Amino acid sequence: MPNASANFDQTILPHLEAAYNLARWLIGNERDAEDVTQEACMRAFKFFSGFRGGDARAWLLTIVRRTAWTWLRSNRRHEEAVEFDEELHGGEDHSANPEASLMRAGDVEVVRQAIAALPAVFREALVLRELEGCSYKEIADIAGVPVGTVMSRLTRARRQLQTALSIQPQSGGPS
Amino acid sequence: MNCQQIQRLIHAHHDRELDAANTLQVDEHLADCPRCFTATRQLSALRDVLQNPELRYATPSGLRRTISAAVERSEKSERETIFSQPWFQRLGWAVAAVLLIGCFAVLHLSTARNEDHLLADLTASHVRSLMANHLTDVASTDQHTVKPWFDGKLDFAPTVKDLRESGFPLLGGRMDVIDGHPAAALVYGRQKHFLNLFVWPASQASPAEIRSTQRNGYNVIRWSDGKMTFGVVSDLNEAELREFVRDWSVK
Repeated sequence: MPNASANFDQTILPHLEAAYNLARWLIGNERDAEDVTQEACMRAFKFFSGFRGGDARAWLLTIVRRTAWTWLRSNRRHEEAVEFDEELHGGEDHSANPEASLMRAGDVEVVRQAIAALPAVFREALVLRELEGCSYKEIADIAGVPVGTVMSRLTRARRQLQTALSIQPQSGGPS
Repeated sequence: MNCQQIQRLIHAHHDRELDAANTLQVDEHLADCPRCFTATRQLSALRDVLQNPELRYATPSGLRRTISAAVERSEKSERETIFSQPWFQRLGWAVAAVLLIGCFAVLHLSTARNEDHLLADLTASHVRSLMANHLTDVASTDQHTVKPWFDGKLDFAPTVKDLRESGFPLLGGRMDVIDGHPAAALVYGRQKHFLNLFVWPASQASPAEIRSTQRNGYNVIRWSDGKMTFGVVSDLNEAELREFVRDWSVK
């Protein structure tokens, strides 16, 4: 397998930024996100010979996501460490506190905090959709869930963000 | 569709993930329903906020290089480990052993085939010499007549010995070809038996030891003194033939 590493460099590493961004949003800090990204890339390289072309970014993001979740489970200091129960968290308004109304949506840090406050499965769906521009189908493949689940996770994630960032939906909606 | 159903679809509509039929229905509803239309406006507002490229975390500088290097290292060590793996080494030894055995087998086979070929040649020459009544080119019991006769006919000077005292009188000499080489054939008698002693320069493959074989009822003994190869063929029994060889070598 001559030049497997060069081939890997050209095929996979162009998607390193998407990989790091997802890892960083899931893990929550720079140092561990770097470790997770590197570990995911090494895993990708190990299985690179089995990669039959296709969407290299989606493939790498799938590995990053799995690596990140494994990391979260073995470092149980995060609430996300426990596999997310959507019924439990469903529709909860985490940011229904007085400060929420003071947040300014134009402030990058404020938006980041609001996203960071989302349950991890909502967060990964939102990051993949809004920050990485993935389609529902791609998100479904990466997260290993049906498209319908992706849809409902995105809906809930956005409602929570709207509340947190005081982009209130009009009252009278079903939510 | 009522507002509740539309509210469920506006995210997918907003993400342009709805099929054409549903998109049309949602569009129609939004045109007539200010409340749902406002909801889509709010989704757009949220998207505007999320579209800020600064929200993405920048990849730390050096991470790419670190990963590239790690990948290259892993590739190299993988290539090295395959050679140092016990199974690979064992496989290597096994392959080497098989090759070695194969070499010996081929060598042995080819030597055996050469040997076989030589024996056939010696026996055939012996038989021909008897059948064609062409036993000798120079009929003489005198070794000093026989030896010079070969001068100029061969590119070597064969030793000619008379073994009359041992019961193997010299009868004469003849030119022959053994294994593609010109050879001197010395003819000896033993009572009513004839012996053909073929002499030709030794090649490297010539065995130094005496080899005795039987072929088509004839006994053949081959040996070499390092310079010359000898092959004696006769219908004499093996014991007497060995006696001849011993006497020839001693004298």
